[in-house]
Amino acid sequence: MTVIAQVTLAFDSFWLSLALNLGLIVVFFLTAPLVVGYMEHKVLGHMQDRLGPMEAGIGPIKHGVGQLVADGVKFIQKEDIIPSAADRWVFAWAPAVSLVPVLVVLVVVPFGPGVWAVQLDAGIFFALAVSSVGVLGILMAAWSSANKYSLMGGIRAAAQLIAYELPLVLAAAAVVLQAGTLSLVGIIEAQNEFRLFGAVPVPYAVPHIIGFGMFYVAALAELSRPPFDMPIADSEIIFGHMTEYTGLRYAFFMLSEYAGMVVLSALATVLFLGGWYPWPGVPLPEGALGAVLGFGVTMGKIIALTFVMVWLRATFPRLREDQLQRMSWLVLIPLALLNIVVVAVAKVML
Amino acid sequence: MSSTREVATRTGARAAEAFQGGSPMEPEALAAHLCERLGRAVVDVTVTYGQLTLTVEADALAEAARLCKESPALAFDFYDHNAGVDLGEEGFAVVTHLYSLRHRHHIMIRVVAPGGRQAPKVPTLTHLYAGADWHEREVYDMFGIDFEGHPGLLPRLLTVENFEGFPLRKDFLLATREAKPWPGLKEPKEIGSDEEEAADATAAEAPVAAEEKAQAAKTRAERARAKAAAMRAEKQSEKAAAQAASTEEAEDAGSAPAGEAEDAQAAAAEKTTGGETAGAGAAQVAAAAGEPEPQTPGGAADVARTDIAKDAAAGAVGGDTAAGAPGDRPGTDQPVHDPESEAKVGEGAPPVPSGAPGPEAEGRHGGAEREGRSASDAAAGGPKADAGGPTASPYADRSHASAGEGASEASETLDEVGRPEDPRPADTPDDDTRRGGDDS
Amino acid sequence: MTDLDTMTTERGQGLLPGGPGEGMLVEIRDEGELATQDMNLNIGPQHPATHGVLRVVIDLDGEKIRRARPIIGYMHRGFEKLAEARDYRQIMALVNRHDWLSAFNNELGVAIAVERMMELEVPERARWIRVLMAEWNRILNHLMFVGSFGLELGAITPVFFAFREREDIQHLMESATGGRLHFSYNRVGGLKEDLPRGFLAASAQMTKNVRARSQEYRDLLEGNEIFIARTRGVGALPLDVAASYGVTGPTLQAAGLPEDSRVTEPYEKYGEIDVRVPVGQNGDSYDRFMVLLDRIDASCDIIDQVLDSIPSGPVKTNLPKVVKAPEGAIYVRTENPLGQCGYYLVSDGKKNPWRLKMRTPSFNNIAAMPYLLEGALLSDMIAILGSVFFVVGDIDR
Repeated sequence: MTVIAQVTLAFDSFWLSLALNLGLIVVFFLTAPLVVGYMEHKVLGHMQDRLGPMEAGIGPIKHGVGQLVADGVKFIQKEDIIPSAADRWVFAWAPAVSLVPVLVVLVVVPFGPGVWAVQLDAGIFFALAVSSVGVLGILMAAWSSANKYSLMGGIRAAAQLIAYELPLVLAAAAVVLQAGTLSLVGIIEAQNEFRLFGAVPVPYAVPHIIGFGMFYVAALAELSRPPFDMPIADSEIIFGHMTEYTGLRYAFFMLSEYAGMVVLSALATVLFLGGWYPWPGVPLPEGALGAVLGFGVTMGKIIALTFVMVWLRATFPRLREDQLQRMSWLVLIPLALLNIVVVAVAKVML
Repeated sequence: MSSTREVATRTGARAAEAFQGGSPMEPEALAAHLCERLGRAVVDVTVTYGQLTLTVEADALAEAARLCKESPALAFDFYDHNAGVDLGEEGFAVVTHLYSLRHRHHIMIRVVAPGGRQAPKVPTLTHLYAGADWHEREVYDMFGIDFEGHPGLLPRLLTVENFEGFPLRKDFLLATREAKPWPGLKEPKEIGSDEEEAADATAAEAPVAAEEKAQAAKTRAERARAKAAAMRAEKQSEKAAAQAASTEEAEDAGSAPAGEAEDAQAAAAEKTTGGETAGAGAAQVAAAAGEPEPQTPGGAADVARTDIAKDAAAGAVGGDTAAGAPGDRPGTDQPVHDPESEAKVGEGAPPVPSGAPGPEAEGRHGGAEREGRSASDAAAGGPKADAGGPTASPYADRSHASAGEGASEASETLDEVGRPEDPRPADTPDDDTRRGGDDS
Repeated sequence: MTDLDTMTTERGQGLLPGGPGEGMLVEIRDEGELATQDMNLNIGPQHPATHGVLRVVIDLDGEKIRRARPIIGYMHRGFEKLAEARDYRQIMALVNRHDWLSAFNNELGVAIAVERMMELEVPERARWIRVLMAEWNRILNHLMFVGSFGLELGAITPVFFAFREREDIQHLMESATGGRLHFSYNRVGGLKEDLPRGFLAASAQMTKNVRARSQEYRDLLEGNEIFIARTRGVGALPLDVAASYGVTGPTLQAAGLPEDSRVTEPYEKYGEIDVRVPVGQNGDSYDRFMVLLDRIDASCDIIDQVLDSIPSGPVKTNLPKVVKAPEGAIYVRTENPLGQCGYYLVSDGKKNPWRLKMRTPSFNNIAAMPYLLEGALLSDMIAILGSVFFVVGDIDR
């Protein structure tokens, strides 16, 4: 039984427990991107020999912790502008189409022993399928904006996001093959029991090092994060599909980007880094303490992965879109297929 | 750290070789070479400052340029620029500057556009040099010279597309300069009394005798003192008026009928006008000393005579003139020039900030200090001091030589600007001449 | 096909609204073939990548540029006309401002032109200090472009490092001239005033800093595979085309030719010191960038040589009260950070110039833009715009 289910058992109501679960997910969904966003501001700042936000604070704590909260408030109070030539309905709903799938994926991601909203037997399949829906939001935004820069961004996004779905899925497929189950919790448990060459307990990141790299790179491209941020190259096409967006809609796009970082890092954690186990074979204490520790371990791994995403942003210029495509179709996908073959062979033979 | 590298490919070594190994020709030799081939098309050969300007007939321009480009001895492959020049009656000239990357010599091919000022036309060089495209468009934009054979002079390059007129022609007048001539056209000393202007006009070229300068400086010093007296009187009268007003107000603390307050103000006004008339009287004294221009705008007549009012009448925008905005009164916007303290400064006292310090207080005090200093040098026959009142801002006083060395120099020098607290005379080399000099 | 020649400022000319707003117009031909129409895109005048108000109208076939045409004049301020209304000392303040990143070098060009016409002898110390300041200005300028080039390609970090250096150097320049951007330090016949105490020692320290930190830019960008992929082979400018357009400066040197006015026609004290001119191999964006980085180090070397050689003495000359240049015309060309900046000064003997033609480096460099952009991708256009160094005020004056 899930911890949350235990908590809500007292209420003995399906709908109430469901509401509580989803409520917690939404709270997480709204706060985790703030943490990641704050980390991005500060880490980028310090890497660039400056301080980052220092003034906005929450209560007595300064150092810019309230910066994103302040940004959120600012966006909420902005005027709702839809360009007159834009397709109103599509323009208005594009941010939602971009945002909601990320929220939905979060429902199945396990954060700790018993710490999840829903456990699906086809967890990873569900997660990847739903996250692909987010691409539609970008295309909707680009087309409906009635702006040539948005159109350019949308075209680039369409090509890029479709191209990088495949390495993402294939790398995950290799892990599924290895673990023998599509369930995310099952994959974590399988990793816990995995021993390389029968003896060494390592997370899947070690035997699947190439797959891990590919998954990570593909995740960056799916999120349009540098060095794959051609669709929103701000020095070329202003801001791509988000050029005409302002106010709360723009905030939703930004939220979907940061939440997407969290979600894809969480998936990478589950698939490759052992999930909530500090190390395969190291057990967590039972009960609520274990759940909290497990949640902490998962969050630690997620933060580490997002830190690397921010680090890459500070370091690299962006790839041109044809180079991007070339990399995906000519390098990553063949590698991913090779990866699957190797894993399959190794699983059978070893 | 990399330095010059090996070059390769079409844009590299082989191409670079094609541009190296030449030797420059002297301007005279260049001229001779071209005159030989162009014959009578060459109208004029000028070599000034080591640069050759070859004036050719307009219809020979393309041929001359072609010769320049294709002749291996000349090899003018680099199109530098193309300048239009307004020649007045004659029309317009177009000067094309070419350079040889290989031989490293220059030539300026000048053409006087036939068609005068009405329809100047010059053949194009775009078939020879790609860079001529934009330069010729710019010359068309600015002068209206039509380049025959140019692929497209419109839309206009630098100005707005629907711009009317050709800006760099001399008959295209700058609108603001029509309303009022640029104050910087006058030498800074000229802004001031008419007498000074006249004196300048005549004395511009002729050397000024030291005696006359000393005399002028003396009168200025006197004027400064008279002005000081006038301002003192005015200040006293204002103080008295203020006191009277306040005492009257204190009396009327309970009920203050407007009439009494008005009376008080009228009394105060009377006192100020009394002060003003005193000032005007002082001004008249100064006028009697030979200066027609009062330094404190007292009465309306005096105001009208100042340059401020003249400029205002001519439609100046506030604050546009070097003399200050029309209607400025001392103590409001600009600091009050306190000739008393200025005179004291001349005697060796430290400079005193005068009046209300404005945002540019430093510069203005510098002016006050300089005036004070130069007032003190008056007797020594130093440079002229323009102890102008609120009409002259310190920025107008840049023509003053430093106190240190003006005495010996007969001609005016435009020298140091100086900072207010800078006690050093102009040319002391005070900086370390070696790295790590005296860092005391 | 949109006809760029008849392009005016009206929006949407040549395209029909085929859907929400303007987009691509697609027509089906009889044979069942799908025909497409090129998209006409305006880059600028307000655009993050155009270094100011430069407008480039491009015909795009997907991402490929078929035709590009820069439209300039948005920043035309009429400097040449204004110069005719100023006297020879006042134009110094004007010419600071057309290429605001190389203010001192501009002033230097004009000062030299007037001095040569008047046959003024400039004191030795002033000439050495002029070289010093000109080189500091050059480093300031190059740092700016090193930073912004990376920024346009997506590398957001070098720009902060470059500006950190710029702040320090601007502080140094401010201590001597009073300005951080527009120095107004040159005067006809010398300089405004002497250097402050300690300036030379601070300069020596600063060159060490700049040299050490230029290694950071190299670390971040020189070997970065993505940077190389974005800039190698992009926007290669052959030498003959460059000569035909009159391209100068790092853009020309990157194409392989060490053409530098400081070496070919030395002015001030450049003839007495060793000036290193880095050249590139292919004339592409990568080479232009590397030449820029190398020039920073070369300028540091020049500054060190100058610091060893500055004599003592006056820095100004006594000018007559009315500065008049004799009748005639002169053309003076100096090596500005962006290229060669020339002043063609025509005097009629009065105290205002009759004509001051400013031959600005950016004007010629940007004239070559249509050649460079044809056939490039849109992202390449950004790399090219960022690497053909220009300042819009310099183009338009």
